[in-house]
Amino acid sequence: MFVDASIFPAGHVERARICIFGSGPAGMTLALSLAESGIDVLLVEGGGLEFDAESQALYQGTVVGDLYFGLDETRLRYFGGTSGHWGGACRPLDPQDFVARPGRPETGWPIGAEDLVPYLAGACEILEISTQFDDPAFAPGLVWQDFHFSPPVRFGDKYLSYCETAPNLRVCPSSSLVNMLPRNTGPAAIGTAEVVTEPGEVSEGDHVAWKVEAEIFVLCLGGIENSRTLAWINQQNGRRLIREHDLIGRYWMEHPATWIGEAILFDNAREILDQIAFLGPDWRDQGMELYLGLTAGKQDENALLNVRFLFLEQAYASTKQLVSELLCLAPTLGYKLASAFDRNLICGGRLEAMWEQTPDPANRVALGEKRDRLGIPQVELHWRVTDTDRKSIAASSLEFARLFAEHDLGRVRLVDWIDDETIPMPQNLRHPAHHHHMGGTRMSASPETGVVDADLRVHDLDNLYVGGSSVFPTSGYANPTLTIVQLSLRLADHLRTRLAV
Amino acid sequence: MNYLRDPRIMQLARRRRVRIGRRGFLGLGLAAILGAVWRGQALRPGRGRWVLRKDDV
Repeated sequence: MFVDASIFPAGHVERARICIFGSGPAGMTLALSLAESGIDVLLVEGGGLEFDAESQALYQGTVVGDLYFGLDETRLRYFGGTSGHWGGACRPLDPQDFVARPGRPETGWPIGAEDLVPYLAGACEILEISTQFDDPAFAPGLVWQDFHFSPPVRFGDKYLSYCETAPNLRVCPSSSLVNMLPRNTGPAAIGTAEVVTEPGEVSEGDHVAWKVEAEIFVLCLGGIENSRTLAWINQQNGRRLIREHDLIGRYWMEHPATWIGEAILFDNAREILDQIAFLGPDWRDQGMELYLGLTAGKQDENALLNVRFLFLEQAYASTKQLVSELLCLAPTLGYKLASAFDRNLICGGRLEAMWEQTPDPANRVALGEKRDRLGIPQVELHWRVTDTDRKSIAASSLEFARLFAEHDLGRVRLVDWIDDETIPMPQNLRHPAHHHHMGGTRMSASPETGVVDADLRVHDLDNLYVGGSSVFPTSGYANPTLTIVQLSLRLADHLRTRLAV
Repeated sequence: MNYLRDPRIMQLARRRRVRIGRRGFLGLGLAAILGAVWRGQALRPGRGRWVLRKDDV
C-alpha cells in the first residue's frame, strides 16, 4: 500500500524488517520479491508518483571532463526510476566480463557469470523478453550479439496498482533519504535512517522529517545517486562507517559511443543482411539490428576490452558513393561490387561502436560544492574517455575490419583517428555515451578494492546493502538493466536466507 | 500621387529587400552549417581508409 508520509507527525518512526531506498528496476524488483516471500518491506522513493520538475531538479550536478549529458536529464527521479525513459535493450553480460583479464587492469568480479544464470529467467519475465540469448559465430573471430528488446517495461506503470494492494509492502513516495545514524558502536553501525518528505496536499508548509528503523537497509538509488548518498552518509558520520571511504564513487563507467567508419556487406553475409533493420522511430518493430563483436579469444589475443559494433544500413546514394570510391582505389574489387550493386546484392552502412570502458579510479562521482535544496551536496561527476579506452577501441576496430576482409564478408572504411594517434578522437556531440551509469560502489572481494562484497553488502557494515549498476566492477558492452534485475533477484535470495525466511 | 511609385519609398523598399535578402541568405547559410555540424559531417577528421585485401587492387 502507499503511505502518505507527509502527514506523519514530527519525529515519527516507521519500522520495517527491510527498508529499500529507490523504486527503479533494482529497488522495485527487490521489494516485490521480498514482499512476496512474506517479509515486511518499506520502499522509500524520493520522487512522486508522476514526473515532477521540482523533484527532478534535485538531480542537478556538474560534469568535469568530457562532454556528457545533463545529470538531471540522464536519469529520472520518480516512481519507477529511470525505467521511465529507458530504451529497452537487454542482454546479459558475457562470461569474460566477469573474469580478471590479463593486460586489462582492474577487471574481474568476485562472482562469475554462472552466479547470475539462475536469475536470468526471472529477470527476463519481469522485463517481458525471451530467455534465449544465442550468439552464433558469424565468422572465425566474430560473433553476432543477440539483443532482446523489452516493450520497454516502465516499472512505475507496471507495478503501480500491484503496489497499492501488495501485502507486506509499504511505499512512501516523495520521501528522500538524508542521513543514516549509527545504532551501536562497532561494525553493525546503521540502524536508523532519516527521511524527509515533501509537504503534501493535507500538510502544507515545511518538509516532514521522520525516521525509519529497520534490520536491513538497501540503497537502490541509481548508478550515480548510490555513490553520492553513500559518500554523504559517510561524511556526516565523520567517515567512520566505511573505512576505505576514498573508494566511494570511484571507478565510475559509461558505455562511450562513437562511429568508427562505414562498411559494405557482401552477398556472403546475406543471411545476416536479412536481419538488418533500419533504425527509425519504430525501429523496434522492424526486427533485429546487426550487432557484431569479437570473440573472447580475439579479445584476449590483443588484450582488448569488450565491444559491440552496430551496423546501420544507410541510404542507396551513400552506398553508391562507397562503391565509386572502391572503383578508384581497388579496381578489381570495385568492378565486382559495381555489378553486385546493380543487382542489389550488397549493402552499405555506418558502423558505430559501444564499448566497455576501462575501470579508472579517476572517473568518479564526487560531492560538489553546491548543495541542493535538501542541503545535500550536488554531484560532481568526473568522466573521461581514457587513452586506454581509445587504444582498445582503435585496435578492436582494426581487428574487426581485418576479419571482415579476411573472410570476404565485406570491406570496412575506418575513420582517420583509428590508426593515427595524432588525430584527436572526436566525441559524438549528440550521443557521447548511452546513459548507462555503472560503478562507483564496485563489488570486490576485499574492502581495499571496492565498496560492497559479493553479496552486495557494504564492506565493514552489517546491515547496509547496495543494489543496481553502481556495484558493477566492469561494464561489458551490454545494456545494464537485465543484469541489474538479475542482481536484485540474487540479493533477494541472499536476504531471504539471512533472515531465515 | 501614386504612393508606390514615390522614388523615396521605392528606394527604401529596394534597400529593405536587399537587407532582408542578405539576412535570409546568411540565415540559410548558417542553418546549413549548423545542420552539417549537427549531422557530424563537419567534424569528420577525414575520409578515413579502407581495410582491403591484396587481391582487391
